Formats: sequence, C-alpha cells, structure tokens
Amino acid sequence: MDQGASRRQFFKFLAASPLAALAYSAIPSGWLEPLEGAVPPAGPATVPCINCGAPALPATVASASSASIASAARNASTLPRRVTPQELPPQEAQEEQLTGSAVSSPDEAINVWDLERAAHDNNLAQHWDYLHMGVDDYETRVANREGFQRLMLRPRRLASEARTGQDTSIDILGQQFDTPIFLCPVGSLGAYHTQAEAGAARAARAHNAMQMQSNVSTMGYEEIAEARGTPHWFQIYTNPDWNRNQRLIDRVAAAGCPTLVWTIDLLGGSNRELSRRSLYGEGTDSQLCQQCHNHVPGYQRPMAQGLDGPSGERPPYTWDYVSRLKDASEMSLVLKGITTAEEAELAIEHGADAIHVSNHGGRAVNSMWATIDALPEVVQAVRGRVPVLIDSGIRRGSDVFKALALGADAVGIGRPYVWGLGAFGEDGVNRVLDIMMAEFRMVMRQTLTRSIDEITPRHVMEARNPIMTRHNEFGFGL
Amino acid sequence: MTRTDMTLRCGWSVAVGLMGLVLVHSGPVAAQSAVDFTVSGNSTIRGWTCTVVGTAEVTEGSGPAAPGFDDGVQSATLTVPVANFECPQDEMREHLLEAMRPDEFPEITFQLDGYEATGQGATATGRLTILDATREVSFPLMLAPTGAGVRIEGALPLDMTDYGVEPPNVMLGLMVVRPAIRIEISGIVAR
Repeated sequence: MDQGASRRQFFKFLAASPLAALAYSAIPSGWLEPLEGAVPPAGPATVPCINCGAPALPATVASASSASIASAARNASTLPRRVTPQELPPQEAQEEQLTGSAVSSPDEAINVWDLERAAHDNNLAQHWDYLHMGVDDYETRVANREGFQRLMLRPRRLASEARTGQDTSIDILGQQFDTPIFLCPVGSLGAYHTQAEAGAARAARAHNAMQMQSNVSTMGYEEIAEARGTPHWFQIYTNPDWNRNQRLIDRVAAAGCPTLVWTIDLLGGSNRELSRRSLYGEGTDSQLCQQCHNHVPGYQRPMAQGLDGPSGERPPYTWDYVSRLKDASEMSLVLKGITTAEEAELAIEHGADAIHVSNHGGRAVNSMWATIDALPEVVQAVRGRVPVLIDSGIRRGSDVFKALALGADAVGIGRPYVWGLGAFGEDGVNRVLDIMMAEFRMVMRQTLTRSIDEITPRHVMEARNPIMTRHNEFGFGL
Repeated sequence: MTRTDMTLRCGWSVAVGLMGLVLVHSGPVAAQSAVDFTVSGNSTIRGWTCTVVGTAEVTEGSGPAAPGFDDGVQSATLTVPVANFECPQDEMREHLLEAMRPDEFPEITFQLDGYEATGQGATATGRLTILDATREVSFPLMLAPTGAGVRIEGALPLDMTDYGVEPPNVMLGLMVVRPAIRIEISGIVAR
C-alpha cells in the first residue's frame, strides 16, 4: 500500500470513530479537509441547515454517543460547513445583494445588477468587454455612480390633503411617453441577443418608452421601427464626407424618424484599453468571430448600406455644423454629449432642439465629472428653452428621480437594458424597465409627488461624501 | 313511385340528414388554431431566439371553468412542426434542426392532462414530447377572452438534455449552446 492510500485509510478510520467528535477541536485545521473528504457524502437531510432547525452536525457525529454529540455541538461552530445552494444562509443573500445574482429567469431579478450577472454569464467575453468597458481607469464610470450616490433624497411624509394618482408621462419634442426613462443608443445589440434592437424596441413599445437607435446598430432603422410600431429617434456619428451624412439622414427621415441625435463626445476619439486587450491577436479575424463579423463578402452594417455615391464637402466639426445638420432635414436635432453651460448656450444658439447631457457612459473621456453634477449648470443655462436629457450611470429609480429633480426632462439608460437583453432578450429589457419604474414610483410615493412636474430640486440635497456600498472588485455593480 | 312515396322518401331523407347534423353538432368540437411558439436560450456567445407557427387544438367542455372557457376544456393539444423553425441566421437554424432531427421526429407535442384555473388563467399539466422522450410538465397559462377567441400566453422553461436533445456545439466547442431553454406560446385559440 502506498503512503497516500495508507493516509486515506487512517482518515477514514478517524472519521468513522465516535472519538472523532471529541477530537475535532484538537485536530489541526489542515487535517480537517481530508477528514471531511473521507466521510461519505451526506444526503440533504443531514446537511447542516442554519435556518431550518436541523442539527448542525456531520453525519458521523450524529451517530456517535450522546456525550460526544453534546461535545461536538459545543464545537460545531469550529467545523467547516458545506451548505447547498438551496439553503442559502443570510450571509450569502447579503453577498448577492452587493454583487448581483446570476438569475435564470427575468422574474428572479430583483435589481438591474442581477441581470448584469446573468448577461455576463451568457455572453462572449469579448462582447461583454465591449459593453463593460470605460476608458483609461474607469474614473468617469465610477464618477457617474458616485455622483448619484452623493445626492440624497429629501422626502415628504404627510400632505395637507389626500394625494392620489401617479402620472409618470412626459412630453418631449412633440411626443408623449408613459415613462421618463428612455433607451440610449448602444451599438451592436445583436452581439448580446439575436433579437437585437428589435427586442429592445418591443420592450420600449410595451412601456411606451422613447428609444434612440445607435448609428452602429445590428438592424436597420426600418426593421427596428417595425418592431416598435412607431418611428424612433436616431443617433448619428457623422462622417467627414457630408454627402454620406445627407444620404443617411434622408433614409431615416423617409422612414419617419422624428428626431436626429448627434453624438459629439467622441469626435476626439477614446482610449478603450479593455477592448484593445480583449481583441488582441486575431481580433475579429478569428474563426469564431467570423461566424458573425463580416463573414459575408462585402458586408456592411445595416445603417451603412446604400450610402455609397459621389463624395461631397468635408466641413469641419464646428458650431456651424450644428446648423448644417439642423437644415438637412425636418427632423428635430439633439446634441448628445454636452456637459457645460457654455456649450449648452451655444447649442441652442445654433439650432439644437434639445440638449443631451452625457459623457457616453464613461466610454469617451477619462476623468470626466458625473453627468448628474453637470446637469444643474446646463439646466440653468438652458432656462427652459429646450428639453434637457441626461444619461450615464443611471441604475435605480431613485437615480431617475434625482435627475428629474435637478431639471432633466428625460433620463436615459444604456448598459442596464443591454444587461436585460443579453440575459433574456426582450423579456429581460422588459424586466429592467419594470424594475426601474417600480423603484421610481416608490420614490414618487415617498416624496408625495404625483407627476414629473412636481419633482423639484427641493426633493434632493447633496451629501457630504460619496457612498459606495456595492462590491466592485471584479467590475460588477457600476 | 307515386308522388306520395316520393314525398315520404324525400321527407325521410331530410329528417335523417337533419338528425345527422344534430348528432354531429351535439358532441364536443375540437377547434384548431395557429399559434406562435418562441424558443429562447443562451450560449457561450449570446442569447438566441427561434420562432415557429404551430397549432393549438382545443375541445371545450367537461372541465372546471377557466377564463374564456366557461364550460371548461375537455382536451387540448399543442403541436410544433419542427422543420418550420425560423432562426435569425441560417447556420443557427441548421444547428437547431441537426439537434432536433425533424426527419425522425417531425413534431413537438404537448398533450393536456389537467389544469387548475387561476385568477387570470390556468396552470396546465400534461405530457411534453420532444424527440422520443415524453415528460410531464406543468406551466402557467394566461387566458383572456377576446372577440376572436381566447388569447393564450405562457412560458415553459426546460432543460433540453432531459429530452435527449444534444445542445448544439459548434466549431469544436468554441460556441456551445446552453441546455436551459424557454418555450413561449402566444396566440388566439378559436372557440
């Protein structure tokens, strides 16, 4: 018999002996693990269950003499415990609350971070990286969350008369929506679910929520609008060749698009280190990636199709470009990426119909201040002349409320709804909107506000320090 | 044949015909309707959804009342024609059909064995057959009477390996479909 087998037999002997119970406290901790392994696996009835009243004793101990049981019970807290997932003690619930839980159905999700975990588990690492990444050191992503956490609610408890009813609808640029939450433009949704933008559109339709389509979407404008039932807003990344822009603008305008959203926060580029790392080597040229990426010769993204033609002017990206875009169609024009009072003023001066306060979800420039911090000065500069939208870092209904309190007219979410889509398709997006609206409605009740107009700056105040309670060690929870 | 004989014979024929009609309509009638089935799941790459139009054959009567079915439901069968599945990509459809082997097993069927009415629908229990494996399943169905019939909506999560379906594994395991899937049914059942 070899030395290892002899040692295992010795552990089995120890494990089977009633004396083992008495000896547990004296056994060196390094021995406990192999000793446990020598004990036959316990069935569900013998697994220690902290909450159900079953004895917290291993099987061998349970069969020992009453004296040894009493002794072992005294030492039970020192024994290593093996707890099955279905008998989660409260400590693990707390852990899940802080990190999110990889839920297996939309209904199990308690907050949006549960869907983040589920989407993470069910998507290609490189796709996940694309969604998750911030730039440089993620300071802007963190700042976005801390901005909301630094802002506190000032509730109202009692009213002078009964206050019933709750109206969460908004009117923005001539359109009415049932919720102030809208879906931000996020590119390549087909990477997360085959339902792609159409799945998100059906969920937006179910909630009558505004939706912005990304210029780099997986589906064409027309297909998404069909899924949504009504035309949606379109976000454009302008091309240096003006004629290509004009052809794209003409295409979405012909499909009934009411509003064009020009993203101006990426004109200087961005340092996306996580994407560069995850695509290191073959990048999308690998066999796996080519199953979807450009594997058809001559493939073009849906919104890049049909744009070829004679080249045109290449005007510089100045404020005059805003006027040029405005004059290019009958659509309303929104400038996305404004974070200062000065630029808000200039945007209105050059014809913008709405201002979208955004730092691209922390994906454009590092060390940006939080959009919720930028919002008050933009709102002050705008003075109600045009609607003000905001995104970046909105994860809770309370965040929506805080943004509205500081003067936003609509509040956009990006990653959260893509987490829902990546986890469960359309049903996941529906769940995200359900969760955030339920949270938002509760804050409205707690502040005795019955409509969006009643939510004012007096309902929020700045706290002394940012409060971060979620675990961020692996990047979840931002 | 006299005129009286002809009259009697015609009258007899009409009477028999009417009796036949009465007999045909006196028993329970199975109504067949087209309904949408959506199968969703995940993989190591992304989520996926494939769809197919199947049939729901429902015979009313002889059961506890449920929303839209005042006299209850005597029997119900859902049938999914496997070869008709549509997926967002041709390759995905090929992988699905490879796993489902429609030449050998052309249909997925659910045979209702019983149900318990709930506030807005019923919890259905019955036998689900995929490939050559039959398992008892139970899932909630939302039922809502409409002018055209009864709207039904329901979802059933299941593990495809329980039915012997090998989850598609593409490119030597570079992409693996997860075994957990969700079947959704949606449509209007004629009455």
